Amino acid sequence: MDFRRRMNYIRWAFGVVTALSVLLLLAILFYRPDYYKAKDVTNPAPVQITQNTTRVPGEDVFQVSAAISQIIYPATFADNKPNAVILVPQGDWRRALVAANVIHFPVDAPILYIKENEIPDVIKQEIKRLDPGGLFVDRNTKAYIVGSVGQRVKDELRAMKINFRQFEAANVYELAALIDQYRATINSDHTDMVMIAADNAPEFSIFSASWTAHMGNPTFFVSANEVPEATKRALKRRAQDAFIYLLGNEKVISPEIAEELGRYGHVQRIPGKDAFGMSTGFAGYADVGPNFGYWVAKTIRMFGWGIAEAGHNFIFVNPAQPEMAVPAGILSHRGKHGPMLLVQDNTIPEPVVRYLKIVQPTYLGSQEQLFNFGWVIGSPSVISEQVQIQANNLLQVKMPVSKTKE
Amino acid sequence: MKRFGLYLSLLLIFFLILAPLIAVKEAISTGKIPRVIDRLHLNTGNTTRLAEQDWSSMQQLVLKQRYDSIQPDAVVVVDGDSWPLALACQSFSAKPLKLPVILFNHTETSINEVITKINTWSPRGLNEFNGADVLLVGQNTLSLQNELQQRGHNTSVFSNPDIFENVAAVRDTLLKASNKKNQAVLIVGSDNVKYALPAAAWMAHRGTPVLLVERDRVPDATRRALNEIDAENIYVLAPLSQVSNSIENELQEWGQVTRIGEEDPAAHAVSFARFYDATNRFGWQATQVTAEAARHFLLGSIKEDWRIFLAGNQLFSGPNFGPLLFTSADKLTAQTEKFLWSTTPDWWVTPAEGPFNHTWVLGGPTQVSYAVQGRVDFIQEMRDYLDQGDQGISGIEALALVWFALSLACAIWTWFHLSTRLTQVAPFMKLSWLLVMLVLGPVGLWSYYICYRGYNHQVALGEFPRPLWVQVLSATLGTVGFGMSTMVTVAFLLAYFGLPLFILQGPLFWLGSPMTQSILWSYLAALAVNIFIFVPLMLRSKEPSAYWDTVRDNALTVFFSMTAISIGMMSAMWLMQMRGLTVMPEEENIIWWATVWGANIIGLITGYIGNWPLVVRGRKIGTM
Repeated sequence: MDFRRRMNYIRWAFGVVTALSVLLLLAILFYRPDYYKAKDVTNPAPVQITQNTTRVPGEDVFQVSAAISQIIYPATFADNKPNAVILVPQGDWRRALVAANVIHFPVDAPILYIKENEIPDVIKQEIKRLDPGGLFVDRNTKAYIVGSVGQRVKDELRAMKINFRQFEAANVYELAALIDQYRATINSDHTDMVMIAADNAPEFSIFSASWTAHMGNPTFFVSANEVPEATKRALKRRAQDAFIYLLGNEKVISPEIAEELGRYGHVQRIPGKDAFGMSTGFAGYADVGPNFGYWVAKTIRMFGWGIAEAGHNFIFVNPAQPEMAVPAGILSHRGKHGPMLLVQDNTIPEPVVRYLKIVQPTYLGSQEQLFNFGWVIGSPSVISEQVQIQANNLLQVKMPVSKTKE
Repeated sequence: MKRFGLYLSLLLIFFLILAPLIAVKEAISTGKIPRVIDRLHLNTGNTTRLAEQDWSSMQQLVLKQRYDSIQPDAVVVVDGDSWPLALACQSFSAKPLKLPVILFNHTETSINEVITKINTWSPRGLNEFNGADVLLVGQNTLSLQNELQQRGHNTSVFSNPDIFENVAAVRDTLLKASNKKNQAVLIVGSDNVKYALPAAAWMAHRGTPVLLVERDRVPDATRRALNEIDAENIYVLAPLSQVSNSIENELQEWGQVTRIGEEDPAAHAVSFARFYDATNRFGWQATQVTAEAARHFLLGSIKEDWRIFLAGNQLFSGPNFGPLLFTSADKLTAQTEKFLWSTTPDWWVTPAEGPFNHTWVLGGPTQVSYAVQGRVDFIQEMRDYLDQGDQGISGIEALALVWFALSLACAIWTWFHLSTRLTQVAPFMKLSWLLVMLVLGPVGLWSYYICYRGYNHQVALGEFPRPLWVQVLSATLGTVGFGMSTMVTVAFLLAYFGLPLFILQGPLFWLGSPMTQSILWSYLAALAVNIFIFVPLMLRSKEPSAYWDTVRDNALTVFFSMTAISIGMMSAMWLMQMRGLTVMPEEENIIWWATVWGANIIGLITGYIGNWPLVVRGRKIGTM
């Protein structure tokens, strides 16, 4: 009978496939994949390193963004490549800060700056080097464009066989809401913890990029005298009242604005008198408690680094160059996760020094030591060598006092 | 129709066996790499490269970093052609002396460099050395003496031509100067520097002195040194090929002897990095016991000049310290790789909690390739304890793999049993059972046993008189076989080719979510496949009615049954993938399958509940 014969085939095919897969599994035990195909690498000029800091070099925002991406993604085999790249037209730090909300898992992509009508060579090279793998929850998208770009940029991407998704909105408030909605779509849920920044005070909010990259909590903007409609709408979209954290002192985000935001959730202000103090206030801040419970399970609220002890990493940025600082948020997404601290080009401000002294490691022993580490973002014209050395001394393990100094 | 159903079920069977293996394929495929890699710098998140090509520029870089801001009390200059001396002097860099050690050889520039370096530090001199501010160790350093004295430096010289004597003299000075009770001494073989080098990082950190032996002889100088000052603990850092067993026994005379040694240099360095002796806290103990500690590693190519290691080693003489490791230049040596995996920290609450390891790579990309650096960076990346990330095998994944193997075994056994003992079962029923094994594993086998135990082989087709609860189980499995396997297959394929995502506004925005889309499409596919293909085929032998009549009669029943299964399966998958795991798993990870197989069991339970009323009302048959 014909059917019986077919069943027989199936029996054999089943046996063969099973045997093959067992053989395959056995063979794999003896197989060592070649993770060392990256043979030739350019030999760039050395950068300034110290025992506890490494400088991420670059003369302009394009180079710096590429250099940061190179820290996180060596791209020597499939698993240390990103899923995508986030392309942000240079020119508005707020756009970059909004784009930082795309970085977090499952997207897993670095921010790279482009020009509105052109992808600079250094970025093109970086995209080629990264060879993004595609995001499986979004049609294997390989690039995100945050903001408006010229046709040429799109054509160049298509020529590189990079399929992309573009976030385009009338203004930066809408853009923030749009990307928030995108993330919510991936997670089928809006994060209840959000940050609010003033749209004219980058120094008070750029350091939130590291937290956004680390945990995926977005930042929305308010202007000096009102809460824009888009921000209101985004806040209302949460399934319940939001937990709202204000990035700014009362001069930057007025008490009136704070009160208005109270309609959309529980408002708290990150501590800090000035921007430098707020970057350390944010690094030390932790708000934990209930978020949402449903009889048999609960999700908790955990916001803020809450770092007040040794064994952590910091990203040093100069707020005079906010666009240079924001892509560094990804250094908290992989590798040495840690908060961003603000410094000036030639000095570490007093609140930051005080904070670093609190978290400075002391010597514990040869077997059980904790270390601090710092990234310095930009060329020495952005953050000077002296600042890097000073930072190094504040980060390094305090050795026990003996007759010689250390 | 029948043929199509047959091929489709064949496809599902193959898919369920082969698709989990894609995870293995993904784990071993390394992807495309551009021929030339353009970089603006050579550092990564977990590694820093000391990109100096030769030892003397490495030395300049490291000494500048390490000592320029702290003004040492004295400086040690050591013969850069004699590794035993250069190694022995590393102990001067540890507490309490904390002296820089400069390697010196004859070239003119080197003399100038040394003198300039010493002058920038302007050491004050140490009483322990009778006021000397420069220690000259080794014969070739004598050429510096005049020059240094002319510039007002006070030198102290160790230039015994016998290397064993000189090493012993260094130990003597070290012990006197640091006023230490001599608790431990390291013994290395004089033959091969590679086996001695791992000691350097420890010596620069802890100041343990070193003595030299030959393979089969304890030289007189070493013997005298051991006689003079007793060592409670003697650590022989050498494999048998370097220091023989008889020497090890001979050394017992002076103290408790412990050997640390492997013939493979990379494994040798690793075994010293793991070593720990609690009696005097000797050894790095870089193991899981000290998983709360962060680690710095110094990594260099085994082929490199020893000078580049000792020059780099000075970086580890102060607030940063840790074991020295070897690799080969263009591939991470297996032993070192294994060690690095074992020291990679797991995170429990947040990846910001640490500890964070950091590896310092010695030399440019020609000395230690960029690919090796990339691999080290990847291995040292923090991982979630439960998930272990790409390439890591977590406990969950290990269990999942065992489950997969069991499922395969169950499927094979069932097929044999069906072919030889239960030949009267309808063909599509057989295929369905096979799929049940693949989606439910041992739980499927248990169900099979419950359904057919106790019936002799003469029972006619579809006439197994069973208790009600087994009838319900059998009826549920009838839907599970083709339904679940279709759902798993469609969910996998959607993820593989990229899930759809629609940004929607309003309260129903979650309908556009990739997870919702995946659930929706796999559910619809399973429903269609069951209603239009498999249920008519399975019932054909039972109820020889027209195709469309069968479809119409059973559509609602299948809908209820399938929905009951999906409710459990899909919500379990959702909870596990979106809430249980910190990062949503990709279909190429075994952990994705772990969630699927777990969800299948939940689906069986809810499906069972949903099928009960259907069987009771006679809408479904549980006696086939």
